[in-house]
Amino acid sequence: MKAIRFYLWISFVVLVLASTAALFVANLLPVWAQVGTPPSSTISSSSGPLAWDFAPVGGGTVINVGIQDICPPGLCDDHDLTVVLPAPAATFYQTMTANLTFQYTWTSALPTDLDIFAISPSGADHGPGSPDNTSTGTGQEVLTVTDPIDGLWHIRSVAALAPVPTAAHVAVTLTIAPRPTAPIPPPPAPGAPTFINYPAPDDCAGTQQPPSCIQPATGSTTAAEHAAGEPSIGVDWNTGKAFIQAGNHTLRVTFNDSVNPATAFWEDKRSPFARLSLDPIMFVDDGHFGGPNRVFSSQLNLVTSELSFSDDDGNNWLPTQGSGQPAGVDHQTVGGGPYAFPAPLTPTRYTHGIYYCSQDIVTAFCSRSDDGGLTFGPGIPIYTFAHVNGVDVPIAPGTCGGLHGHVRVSPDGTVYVPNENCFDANSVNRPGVAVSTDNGLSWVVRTVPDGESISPGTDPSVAEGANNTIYLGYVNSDGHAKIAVSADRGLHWSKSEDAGTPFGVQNTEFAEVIAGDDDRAAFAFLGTQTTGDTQSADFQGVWHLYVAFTYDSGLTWTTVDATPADPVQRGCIWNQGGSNPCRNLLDFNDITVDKFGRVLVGYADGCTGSCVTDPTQNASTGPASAQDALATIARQVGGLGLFKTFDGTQFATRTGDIKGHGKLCFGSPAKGVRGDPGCKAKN
Amino acid sequence: MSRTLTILPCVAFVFAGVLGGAAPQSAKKGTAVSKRILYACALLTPAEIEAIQGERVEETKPTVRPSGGLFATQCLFRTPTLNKSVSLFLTASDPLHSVPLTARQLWQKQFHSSEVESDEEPVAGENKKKLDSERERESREPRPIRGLGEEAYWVASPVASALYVLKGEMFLRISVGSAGQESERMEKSKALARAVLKRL
Repeated sequence: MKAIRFYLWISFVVLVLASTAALFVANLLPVWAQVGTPPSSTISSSSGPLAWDFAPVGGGTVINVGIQDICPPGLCDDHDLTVVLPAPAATFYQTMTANLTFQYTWTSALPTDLDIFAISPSGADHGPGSPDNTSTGTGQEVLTVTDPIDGLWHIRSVAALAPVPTAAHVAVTLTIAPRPTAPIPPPPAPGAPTFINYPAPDDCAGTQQPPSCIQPATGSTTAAEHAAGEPSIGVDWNTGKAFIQAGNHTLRVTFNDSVNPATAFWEDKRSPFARLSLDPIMFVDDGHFGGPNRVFSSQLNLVTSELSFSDDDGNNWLPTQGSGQPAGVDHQTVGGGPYAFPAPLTPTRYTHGIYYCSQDIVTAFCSRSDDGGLTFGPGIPIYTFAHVNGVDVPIAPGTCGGLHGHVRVSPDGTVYVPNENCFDANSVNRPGVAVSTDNGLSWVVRTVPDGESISPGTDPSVAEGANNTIYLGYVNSDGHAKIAVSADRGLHWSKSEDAGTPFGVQNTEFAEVIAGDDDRAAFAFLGTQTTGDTQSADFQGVWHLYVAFTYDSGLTWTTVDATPADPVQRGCIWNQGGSNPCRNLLDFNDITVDKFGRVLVGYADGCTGSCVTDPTQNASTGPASAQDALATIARQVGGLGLFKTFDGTQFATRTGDIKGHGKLCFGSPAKGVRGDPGCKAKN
Repeated sequence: MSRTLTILPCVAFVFAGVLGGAAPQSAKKGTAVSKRILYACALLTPAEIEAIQGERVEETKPTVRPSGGLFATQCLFRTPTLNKSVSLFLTASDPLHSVPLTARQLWQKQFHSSEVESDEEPVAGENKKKLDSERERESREPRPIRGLGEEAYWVASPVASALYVLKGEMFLRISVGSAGQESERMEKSKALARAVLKRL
């Protein structure tokens, strides 16, 4: 860290010295004696437009290294602008919206690039304006901040490239208007899917006993239910027990469907080999494609990496041969499924190939296990990338950057690793999948032709239907929740559909997809109806968990709000790594299906307790109730599931319920009792 | 795509030979061998694999990916027991294309640029948040290996570690299966790398 700071400091000093030297060469007085006119001002909805002049700035940063945050004299000029709203932002923006717009202009005789930045009271950077380019003569940038928070802003004129110190002028307007009413969600269609949310209870304390609390695993002081960012979820199809893992705790949930609504019993079944945690991943090789319901727990930490598995629902765990060794890799994923033809001879009776995929320094790779995860073959590259300005990027057609999503295997043995940022044949950034049709021995990258990668990215998700149709859910460059379908392993794709349209979703995070019958799939995502920069500390959006279902191979989607009365997050959702108050949810959620076709979404709830009803709370500023990461399962309890076989019997949560003219609305899959399909419309 | 040992001799040596006329500027400055496009499957023999891994090679699986300025060729030497198989991945500047990023430049970016990636400090008490990207980056730090090529690094993984070796305008990546201890896998990878380097 010292070395990094040293290099940055040296770079900064060199920049300042260079710009200073340039100024003296130009025979000018030191410009840090100059300040803009006036140096500060106040704007409100009733004050009308404002204008001021920035002092000349010269030299250049060329690459944005955050110089606007430091604002060294000569290279940058500051103007303090106080924004006054009719009410505090958190309440004002419940019903109103505002735009703070800067018209920033300058004149230069030489090619010049000046940038305007607006730094909010919470420290969020906005800018530069647009267009951000070099010009001679009149130069201009326009910067608009949507829903600016009230308080003291620092507005800064920065020389990106200014051979001669150049003054600038800015005109500012603050416009407010009633917030457009979000589209009224369509009434739930008859038989539309419905969900019940099951948050994990707190740790048992004192004499408290489960099921109202979780007893931490032996040797643990907590079950870490409030540290459940980036959870994985799976279900043992034999026993029906669900697992949600985040950090190094695997929580087992037993649902009691004999009561209505079903109750949940939570237990901490942490693997003893999951000692420290980073990039936790759980995978249940469930009965979907004939798996034996083995539960894998994978942990990548700073010292060692651990992969262990359990064949008895987490009561006992075994380490794999590779566990406990130093890890030099990142963002691993574990998955598995049937072998492609011809299947290899396997040394054990474990019938599925297990895949471990990760990134090393130059490549992302996958490694296959033929003995149920005990040992793995070599790591075979699936694509290469380059590390540029702190981000892994594709380097040529057929390569990908960023971080990949979770590996999935289709019934025909095709292996897929989704990625939100791959180069197509024309080096355009698109979401796609790395595909292997030979059991992971060779790979090719295929992209979605109408998808556009978003930056910063968020993992896409791929799922396979019973006849190998694949569904790829992703966040498009416009922030919308898109999903595309392919019936030929990604060679061709359907037009991407916007699953958030019924609710007017404008920004999306954490795409998660699961399929059942070939024509049925569910697509879960966090969505908000608020536009703007979701990475900004000023973002005011309220996020819900949505789940979209298709029953016709993706031709139509039925979207439901699985958390209608309880936001999952208020404010920003940070997905650029590092430490950030808005990074409470980390990088992804997860989704699975049980043997009755019931969809279960595992997610971290970032807004709990008082946050649920208090619109002034925000992840960027807290309090803790707005920065939570509570392990939660959204469990489908109504509508059609993903297996047609069980239509009319979903989902045993109301076994024997008599509704709608005396018809039996809900049967019992476990008992083979079917409900009356005609009853669904009346439920 | 697969090649059995019976046809291995057909692809068993340098592909395309010298393409001097089309070689990129950077390649022209390198050794004569760097002007060649090499098939990874020709860089190790089944006997060498068997001598080190203790199992015969049942199949060689080549993959060639001309991709922009880089030429990536990969070979899986598959043994009857998958965890004793070997993956060899060779990245070279592609003589057939202009070179926006040479293999050596890619190497430099990947192995020598991490020091200026971030100035973030770990935040004390952030036990419920993911460790910051700097620490994640550190967790990926490769370990330098002396005495192999111009530079070599060991990138550890719980299941599929890899050895990277730079030579001229190309670099190779060798990964062996997870059988054995990490130190054993590293030594096997180094032995295989020495065999490859003799042919570059």
